[in-house]
Amino acid sequence: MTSFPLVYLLVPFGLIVAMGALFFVFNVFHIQRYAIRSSATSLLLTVYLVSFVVLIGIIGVYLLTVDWQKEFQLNDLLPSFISSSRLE
Amino acid sequence: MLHLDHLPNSQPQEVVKVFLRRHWIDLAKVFLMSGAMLLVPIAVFALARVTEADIFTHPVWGPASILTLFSYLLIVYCITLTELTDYWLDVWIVTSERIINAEQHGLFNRLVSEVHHEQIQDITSETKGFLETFLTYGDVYIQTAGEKERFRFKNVDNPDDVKISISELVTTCKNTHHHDPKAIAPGLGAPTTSKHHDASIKL
Repeated sequence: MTSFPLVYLLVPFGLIVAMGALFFVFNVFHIQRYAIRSSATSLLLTVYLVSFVVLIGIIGVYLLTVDWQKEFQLNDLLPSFISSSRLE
Repeated sequence: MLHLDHLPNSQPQEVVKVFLRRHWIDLAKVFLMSGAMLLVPIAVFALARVTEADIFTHPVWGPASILTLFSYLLIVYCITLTELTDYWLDVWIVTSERIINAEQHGLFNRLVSEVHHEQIQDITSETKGFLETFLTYGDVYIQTAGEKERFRFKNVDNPDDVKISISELVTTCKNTHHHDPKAIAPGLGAPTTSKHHDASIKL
């Protein structure tokens, strides 16, 4: 049976994170370029940056906890997570 | 960034009188929508707990579920950020000489237009609906003789007061330019560097 490393799951996820990062950059660019200069705008930019860093940080911390080199087979995708007590 | 003290094509005597953003209720709607979207993964998690589906400990479905959750959170985050940017970049600036209308429509569509007070023909304020009446916000429409015939101040706070302020400014401007032949014509004059907006104006 063909086996696949878990890291394959990171490919579509990586694309989504890249799109998210692009959106973040676009938003910061627009605020930097078109907003009215004030302390409120600076605060908004800080909130944008901190929230993005926190979100990416949480994702990064989770990614470090998983062994992505572990391989799985298609059989492993069967719903074995349904507990045996429910089947009885 | 735009400086209120250094507006493009500002005249030496030009002062910013009114600075407007959309009412905070628009911001509240954005966060409410995001909050509602965040309820979906919570509901899914609760359903998994109720049905005793041990999905998060599965060697494949566990990481796949968490990655799906993170993807969803990222999408909600991007939508919220974009709506927040859209709100923040919609501004209306009323000076002693003109009105500047800057509106952001999505991420790659921005409209900036200005009209001098002499070109203003009619000003209308509109408050329609229970929430608008209770929270005193609404639209202000400005009919002009310029290329863009109608300006719309969308969901601004106290539209009646805004209408009165603009009306007074228009009257003052027309009287000044009518009676003072030495007044600088609109569109001329270099940007100035002195402070030209009231400290009381909240940005």
